[in-house]
Amino acid sequence: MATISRQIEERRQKIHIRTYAALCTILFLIMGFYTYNKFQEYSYIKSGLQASTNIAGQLRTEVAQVKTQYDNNKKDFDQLDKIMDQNLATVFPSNDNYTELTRALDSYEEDLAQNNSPFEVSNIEYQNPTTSEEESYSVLPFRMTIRSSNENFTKFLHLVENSGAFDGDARLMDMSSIKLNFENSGGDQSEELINFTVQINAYFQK
Amino acid sequence: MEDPLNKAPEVDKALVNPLDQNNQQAAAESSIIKNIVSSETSTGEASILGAAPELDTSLLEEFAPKKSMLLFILKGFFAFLVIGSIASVLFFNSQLTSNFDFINTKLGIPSVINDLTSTNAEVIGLQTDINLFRYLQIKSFLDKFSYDGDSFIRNFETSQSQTVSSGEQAQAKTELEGLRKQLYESFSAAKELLSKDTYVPIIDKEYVDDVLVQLLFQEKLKTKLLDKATTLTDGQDTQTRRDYKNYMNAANFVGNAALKSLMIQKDFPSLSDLEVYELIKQVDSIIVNEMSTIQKIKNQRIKWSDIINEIELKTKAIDSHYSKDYYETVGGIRYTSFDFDTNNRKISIIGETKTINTATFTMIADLIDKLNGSEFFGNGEMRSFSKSGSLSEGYTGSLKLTLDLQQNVLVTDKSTPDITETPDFLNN
Repeated sequence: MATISRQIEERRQKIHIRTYAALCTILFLIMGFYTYNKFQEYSYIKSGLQASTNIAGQLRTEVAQVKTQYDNNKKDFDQLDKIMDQNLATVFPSNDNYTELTRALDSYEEDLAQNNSPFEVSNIEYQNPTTSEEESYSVLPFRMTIRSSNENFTKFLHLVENSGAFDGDARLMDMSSIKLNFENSGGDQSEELINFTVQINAYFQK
Repeated sequence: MEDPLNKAPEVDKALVNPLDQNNQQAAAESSIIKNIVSSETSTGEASILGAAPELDTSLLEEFAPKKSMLLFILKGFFAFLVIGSIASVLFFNSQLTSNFDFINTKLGIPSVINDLTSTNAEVIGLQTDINLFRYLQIKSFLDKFSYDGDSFIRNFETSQSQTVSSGEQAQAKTELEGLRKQLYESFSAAKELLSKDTYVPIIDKEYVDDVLVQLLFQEKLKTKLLDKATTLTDGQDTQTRRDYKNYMNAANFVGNAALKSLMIQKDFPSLSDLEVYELIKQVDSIIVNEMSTIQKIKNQRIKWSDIINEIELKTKAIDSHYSKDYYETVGGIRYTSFDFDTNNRKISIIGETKTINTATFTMIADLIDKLNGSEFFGNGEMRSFSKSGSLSEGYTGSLKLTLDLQQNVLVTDKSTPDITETPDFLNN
């Protein structure tokens, strides 16, 4: 009886040894793998932290330099913005501003009209402003009826075609249609006169 | 009487455990005993020592087996591994995850992942600040480029136009030289800033790809610009509204690869005036601000003065005396009405022709062909011809034709009038 107990005990001891050996091996492998991987990650992050710290140091210096550069230029930028704002208010106003446009058209007439080279605006008719969903601007359409010399007609075309210059003072416009008839085409030697009706779009900010 | 054979023999110490005697004397004594035993055995007499005692090993089986040293070591090693494993898990979890942040904070233990996260956040913030100042500058340099570019476009078109005087053309060409220098300054300044990297590497599992890092910085920059603009939304004074507009406009071209590519690829000094003209229009078409909107409208504008001039040039090719002063005397072509329709890109021309011979319709047909040969026009037609008069008085025909305006009406490469190609009937 005693022999059997001893044998059982011995066998149990052997089983324990094998079990512990197996557990140790498994645990060693698992934890070795885990620790190795985590250590790799830790080392990577640690070196990354060092690199990031260095980059942050360099960037701090660079921020100061770029800000100084920006501050030095800002005075010029503000000056340019100011000029552009002033010009935009005339060239591309924030509303249809048709009264100002009317005064400007009167002023053009005054500049162009001469005794021997007429330019007479007989009618200006403003239509309702339109705004397109797709476009970033609004349009004030209007029609003008003008009697003019050929020379002034060309000047007027140039004026509208070159309107909207940032460094100019002419409201941004374009012509959607021109209907013109020649007057005095009977063959005498007087200046050829043109009667024309022009449909113009004046633009303003949406 | 006690049986001497059953009695435990009294033996010499050397005989009790001869194995314990390891000296030479013991070995000698042992050999003596061996001789005695062998002589007794050989004579058939009874052994002096009798039979060797039997050991009752069963007595030993009542005791537990001896503890295994190997098992002890294994248990110890196992315990060591368990403790080590727990320590490893705890350490790496505390360093590489945020699971133990509350303990780390309480105990003041630094966590490498938290340090990295905060350093990365600082790096992102600093680079975003750099990008912010750079993009605000780029925006302003591009504004300047557009501003000067507008003058350049106008002067270039004037220099190419055939409806302006030669004095105006010469003036425009002079202006172009000065404007080129100004454009180069703003262009190169913007180009230099655009060519700089807008991102730095981030040590993070989420941002192993450079494209993702770039997108991250673009997003951060855009958010920062919009945030700054939002804080100025309610501002009423001029400078505040201007700053608001600047932030919004700068945000519009963050990450604009087309703009960056265009600016970096172009070598401004090597560009011709025409290429600079096209570059300005390209830049204006890419960026979004008031000036680009204005430029877009201007690009859609038709230069009717050039169209009228082209009609006159083509007419002169058919009627070399095209002028009202000669119409009554030598005949030719006279227009009485033009109708230009921008929306439909159509031109209607009404007029009359006068010839001293019968070739009135030929003159009109030649005019139609000439106009259709122009790069400005297409589909010119007049399906009905009529004339009146006589051979002695000459013939007068009515002219009523329609033309389509070509989509690609450009201001460049205007063809000069070929007035040598006068029709035969006018030379007769």
